[in-house]
Amino acid sequence: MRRWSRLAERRWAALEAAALLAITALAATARLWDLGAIGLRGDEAVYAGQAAVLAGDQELKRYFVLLSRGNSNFLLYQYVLAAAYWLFGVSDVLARVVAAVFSILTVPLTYAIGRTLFGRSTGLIAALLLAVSGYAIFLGRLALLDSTLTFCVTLAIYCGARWVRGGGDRWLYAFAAAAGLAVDAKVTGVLVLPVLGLALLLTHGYSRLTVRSVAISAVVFLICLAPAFYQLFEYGSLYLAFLADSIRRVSHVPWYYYPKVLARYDGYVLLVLAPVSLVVAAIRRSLGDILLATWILVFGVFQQAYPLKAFNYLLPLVPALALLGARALEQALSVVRRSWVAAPVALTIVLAASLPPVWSAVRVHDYAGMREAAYWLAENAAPDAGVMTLSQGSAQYVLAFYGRRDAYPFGRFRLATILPGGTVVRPSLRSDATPRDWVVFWPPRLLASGEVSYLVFYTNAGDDPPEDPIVRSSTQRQFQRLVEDYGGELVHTVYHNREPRVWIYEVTKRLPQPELTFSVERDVMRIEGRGFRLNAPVSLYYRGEFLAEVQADERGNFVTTVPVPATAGPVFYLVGVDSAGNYASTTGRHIWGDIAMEPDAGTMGDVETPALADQGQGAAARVGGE
Amino acid sequence: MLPESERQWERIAYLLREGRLTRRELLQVARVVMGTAAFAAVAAACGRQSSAAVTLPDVTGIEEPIPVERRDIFEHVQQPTRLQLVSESVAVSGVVERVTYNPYDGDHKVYVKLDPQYEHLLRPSNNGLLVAEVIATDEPTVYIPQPGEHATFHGPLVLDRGHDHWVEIHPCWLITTDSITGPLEPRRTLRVEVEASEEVVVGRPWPVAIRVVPAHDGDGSAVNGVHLFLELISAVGVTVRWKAARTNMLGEAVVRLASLVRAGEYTLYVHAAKGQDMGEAEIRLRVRRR
Repeated sequence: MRRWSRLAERRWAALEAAALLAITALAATARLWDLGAIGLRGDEAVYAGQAAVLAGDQELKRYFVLLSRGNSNFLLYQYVLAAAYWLFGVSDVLARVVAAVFSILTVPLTYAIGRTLFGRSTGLIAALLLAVSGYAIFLGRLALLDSTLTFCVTLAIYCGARWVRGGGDRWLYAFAAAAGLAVDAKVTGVLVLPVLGLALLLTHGYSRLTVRSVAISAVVFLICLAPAFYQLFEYGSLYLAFLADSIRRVSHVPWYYYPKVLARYDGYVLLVLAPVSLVVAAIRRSLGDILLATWILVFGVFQQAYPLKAFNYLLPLVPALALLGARALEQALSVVRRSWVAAPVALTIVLAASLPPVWSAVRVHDYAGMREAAYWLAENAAPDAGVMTLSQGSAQYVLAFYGRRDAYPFGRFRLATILPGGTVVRPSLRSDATPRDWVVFWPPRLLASGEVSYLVFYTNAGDDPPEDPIVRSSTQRQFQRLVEDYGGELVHTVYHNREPRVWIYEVTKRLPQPELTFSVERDVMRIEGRGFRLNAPVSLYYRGEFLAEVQADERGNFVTTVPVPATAGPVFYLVGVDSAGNYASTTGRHIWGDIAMEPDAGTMGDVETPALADQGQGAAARVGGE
Repeated sequence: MLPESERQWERIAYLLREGRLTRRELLQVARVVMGTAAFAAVAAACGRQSSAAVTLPDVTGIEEPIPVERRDIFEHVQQPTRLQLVSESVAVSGVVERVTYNPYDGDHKVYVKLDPQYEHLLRPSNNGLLVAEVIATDEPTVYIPQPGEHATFHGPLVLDRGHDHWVEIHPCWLITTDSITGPLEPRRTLRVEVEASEEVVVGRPWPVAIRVVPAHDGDGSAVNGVHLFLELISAVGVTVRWKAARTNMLGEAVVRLASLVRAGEYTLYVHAAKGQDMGEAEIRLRVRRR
């Protein structure tokens, strides 16, 4: 009899292992399928670049510093990725594979927590819910820190669960180690400490703590934080400066931002199950329920209360939501357990409801074309040609990572910018608005100095439906104006699914408005022009009459001398027009003052206009061509 | 041996299946549901501070009928989505502090120290002055008062999101004073000549050459210093692009537009104004995907 029972148990264990394997395979498929279809986003490029620097890529050292500019996170993910780079070489897909592996490993870990706290069916359902979570899949497919953080947090909770379930102190030490690693991944990982602390308080589990176990745990925690301490030691003042900037960042979003994020990426399965699950947990109040509730409470309240919000911050909550959802489903199934069809029907409904978010998560086309644009620049732009692109703080690093070109942002953001070469530019923070340094201050200077020669405009929206405008935000409009003001010539367009997504413009001027000055020495007029079209002919007119044609140099400047016109006077205009129609004018008031004013001086009657040339593309070139 | 709370749940689950719950158990479920809801409300309230609503000014007693020709009140207004409408038409008076011209959108901004009865309209971001914005296409018909002049300003009252929700009249379609009691009479004395290619690929620069000459002057001499206002209008009548410019000393302007708009048919409308002198022109444009 005992033998039969042992056989049955083995069969169940084999079935359980097979189910877990299938669920993990499902999670892996969703997270790894077609991972390199779209290039890295801005933040991904930063982390991949940092890892490449850690792996010894000397070229990328120019663009990336080994320090987080945002929430002052540490570099655990980057160290792991650097090891992978050291083995397989630097690539964008590898960066995502590493993050995806962390996301996949979180699935069996979640199962393990469910099995430890509630039983095998809850564990399996939780693993399934996490495997098909659109939100977890979406973030698991990106080379961000969140999957690593979530893995470490889940590992810590698992170790904590084993300890509160009566495991030996080694589980407490493992919890401390995992918590340390979670902080190394992202500073919010430190929240696992209050999670366990609150759970111990509520369950009176603290009575198992001894001075020895707490001391050893603290030492283990600090040892695992060694990489973070090293970073603090290396970049102390800069780290504190970034931290000071970071904690002043505020997201102006409505209070329901996070539920909306979950609904958008994850559908409504977990959103509907979560409150039901919390009710179940509050009624049952078992040790597992309390641990899960504190997990959600601590992370949820922190993220809701913290002024800076982002779409990826909720990921460490998702395993807890999956576990609570599984708990509620398992309880619901127990209510209708007389029915054999209930369980398959419920699971089918859950899977069917998860399919659209999973499909959306896998088919994201944001930032499509940026990688290809960077490759084009790498092949076609001069090695010292700088490039500027629309950015919320990091998009320029995509061009630096792939194109190995000096890249600068254009946009309003509260993040420091690392200039090529390592100079750090901190944002000029204001309490009432986002900084405008990278809209009004830096772009004209970098363009005037010639450090930026290309402007890259991109859109995340395809043209289906066609009513969606390409230029919609204020920053996009200002960037469009920059392209126009600096005579941007379109040199390449990147198409994705036959839709134009990225446009690369080469600037043809160094100033938005050309400038013209002249001086007079004896009977010679020395004329200087700045900011005209680079290497273009410039026609000079005085009092409406053609005076001379000069050639602007590679910076759009020229100096020429002509005899002082016989009709020269203080109020007559010297006009310079280049081959693109860019125009500047000045009078001689600074030389001759306002004397000798003629009755009709400076009016339109004095100005003889060159005739209009042909229509079409040549229209712009006609004015100076006369 | 199950703990007490577990046994209670088993009992509730059993009674749920059987459809029988005592009042005590019903109360227990209700308590838990309410507790959860309260927690959710507290959590929600934690994030509420970032969504402060803007209080709209009270326009009682200052509203007036909209002129018939102004049924589409934001016609020719650049980026109207940044404006939050408070009232479709109001009239307020005050003393002009200063007048500026913005070459980027072609608007005249008249900064007004309001008479005391209208001061309640202002928000802190106004810094004590109401802005009356005369758009480029209204330049020939709207009198622009001088600093120090007392005037009455007519038009829709809006909040400008681009300026921390300051209150402004935008577009200000009529300004009256003791001597100017109605709109100015525009003079159609300018002829606008526009040259540009008729077809362009999405994103490619689209230079538009504009020349303004007197409408009835045969010698072909051009007019300088003319304020130009360009609108690119899609086939369904939606304006997708605005740009202002000014003719140079040769009476010309070359306006470069990066055609970052969806593929389709468009009309470019060009409005020219120099004081009360004005002229208009329009040309067609086809934007292709490739």
